[in-house]
Amino acid sequence: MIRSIDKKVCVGCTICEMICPGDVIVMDAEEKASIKYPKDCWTCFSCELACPVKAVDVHPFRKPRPMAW
Amino acid sequence: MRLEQTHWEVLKSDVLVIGGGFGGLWAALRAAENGASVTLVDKSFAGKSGHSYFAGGAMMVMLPEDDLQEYVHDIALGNEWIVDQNMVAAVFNGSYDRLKDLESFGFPFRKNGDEYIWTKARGTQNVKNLWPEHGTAADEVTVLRKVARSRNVNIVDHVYIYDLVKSDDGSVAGAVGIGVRKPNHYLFHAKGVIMATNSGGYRGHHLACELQGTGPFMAYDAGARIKNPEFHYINIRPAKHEIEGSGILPAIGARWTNAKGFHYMDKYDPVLKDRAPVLKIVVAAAKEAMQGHAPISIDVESMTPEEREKFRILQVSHGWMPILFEKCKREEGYDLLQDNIEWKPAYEANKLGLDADEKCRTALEGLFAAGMARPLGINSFTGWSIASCTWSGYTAGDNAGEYARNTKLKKIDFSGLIQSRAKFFQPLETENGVDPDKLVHDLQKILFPVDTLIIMSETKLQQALDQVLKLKAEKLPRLCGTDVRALIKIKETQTMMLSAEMTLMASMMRKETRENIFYREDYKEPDNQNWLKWIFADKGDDGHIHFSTEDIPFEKYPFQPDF
Repeated sequence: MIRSIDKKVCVGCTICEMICPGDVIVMDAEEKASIKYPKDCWTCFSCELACPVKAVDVHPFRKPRPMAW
Repeated sequence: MRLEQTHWEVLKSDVLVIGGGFGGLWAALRAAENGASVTLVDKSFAGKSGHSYFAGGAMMVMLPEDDLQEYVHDIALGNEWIVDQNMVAAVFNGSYDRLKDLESFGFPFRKNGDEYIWTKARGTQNVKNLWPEHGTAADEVTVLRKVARSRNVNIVDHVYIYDLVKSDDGSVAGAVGIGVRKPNHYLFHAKGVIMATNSGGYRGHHLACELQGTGPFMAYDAGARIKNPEFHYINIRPAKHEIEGSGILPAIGARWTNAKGFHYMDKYDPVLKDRAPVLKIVVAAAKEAMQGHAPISIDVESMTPEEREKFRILQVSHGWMPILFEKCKREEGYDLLQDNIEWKPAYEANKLGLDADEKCRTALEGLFAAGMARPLGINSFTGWSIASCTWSGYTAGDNAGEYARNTKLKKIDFSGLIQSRAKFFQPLETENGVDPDKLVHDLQKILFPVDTLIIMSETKLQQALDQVLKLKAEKLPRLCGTDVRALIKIKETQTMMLSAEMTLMASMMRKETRENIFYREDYKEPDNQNWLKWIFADKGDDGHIHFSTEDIPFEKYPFQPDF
């Protein structure tokens, strides 16, 4: 799940906002990327991979859900 | 400000494509190539989302030296006869031309000199998979988007289509949607509409979280017929995170293992063992767990360094897997290729689709279906998805374009449109209601346990159906939300509930097992006398699901099963 976006490092390029398939990231009032809907994160890593300044951090575990057993 | 009163955009075109994955993008670029004006709408950014963006990139191709009959036979066998063999032939007949198209778009496939490098498609004897020279499916859909744009396809991103729009004569005339980021209303008015929204699921798969089935089910509501409602693609994955390559690891030496350290696939498939098809692997793991032998893992500890290196080379992702491996090591202290971790079955997607002919036309005038939104067989062979989505996208685009050339824009039934909009916005009025995410969670608790959709039986299917109907009566009508994002989730939740009801009922109808595609504990053998049939679902006049079956027309196909 997406864990953090470092606002000190973020340059406001908006690539992560564009690329997030779940619309989880939104540019805030200071035009920095912010995690608006963390629970909807797909854990796809598209944001972390796309960020040109390594401001985005995603934990490898996806959201817990009911399992087969 | 009332949401109903915000700004409307009206976009007219010859062809409207709903969905921007392999199916939708091919449909759009082909229709545009023949001169149609095309609008493509996607609820996210077309080319950076959906199943397509996260696929590996393998594509089945029939090269000029290959034998069509062998290819069709392989796919028919892998689907255990429950597949349209003429569609399969069409996919392969077009596959070399599509390969050449991709090369002309600047997307080459791996070659050794003049010869294509191919791998044999898993589960087949003869079928070839070709692989992108650079990158993965993510790069391929990026290229397809560029081509579509270069052909003046108007791509509208971040707009959620919530209903089809009909004309006064009952034919499909377009679609209505809402902006995902800004609450603008969109009316798409088109001569031909191509549904390319994928088939659906229950948010069981992290890389396809958007698969809820709203495309096929809004067409169902409009009068189209759904085919194959009883089939699913259920895979097996690490319990806490994702990986692609449950097929690759066994192919290079890793072995499925239970809690006692026993390599149990020797027992369940003495011939193929750990290389058995996916559903067999899933059913075997499920049976082991039901006997109390969980946790199940893939035994990687005994792999050699060369085998591990092979996995690193073979695993295909757009970059997310190396990062995931590294973070598991750093954050959680284990190496996926050195330490055994727990794996569990994971529901991925359903395999239903909008019934469509060889031209990708549905029975609804003006509506076509492409990609996974139309039936494309049930077995998810590596390489089949991209090949079949490519064929169906190209074919739907071709035929919708021609249809549009010979027809006029029809007058919209505005009273129907107003009803659709009212229905979509109605949950804003519900107070103290039910959160859609919670209802989806309730639904997953019913559907995902191993003895609901994996090890099926009449008793458990009926139990699950009773529970779904209870949720339908008590919680579904009380779904509520306060913004557009919630309304979209509600629409998706409503769809998933209908899909669940439909699949549980259809699964009870099919009283047999076909090991690659459908497993029933109470009917363990295939029943070729009674079940060489397709199941269809359409909306009855009473609003209820109405099921029917048709015999698979083997007299029209090259191959028949031996009785």
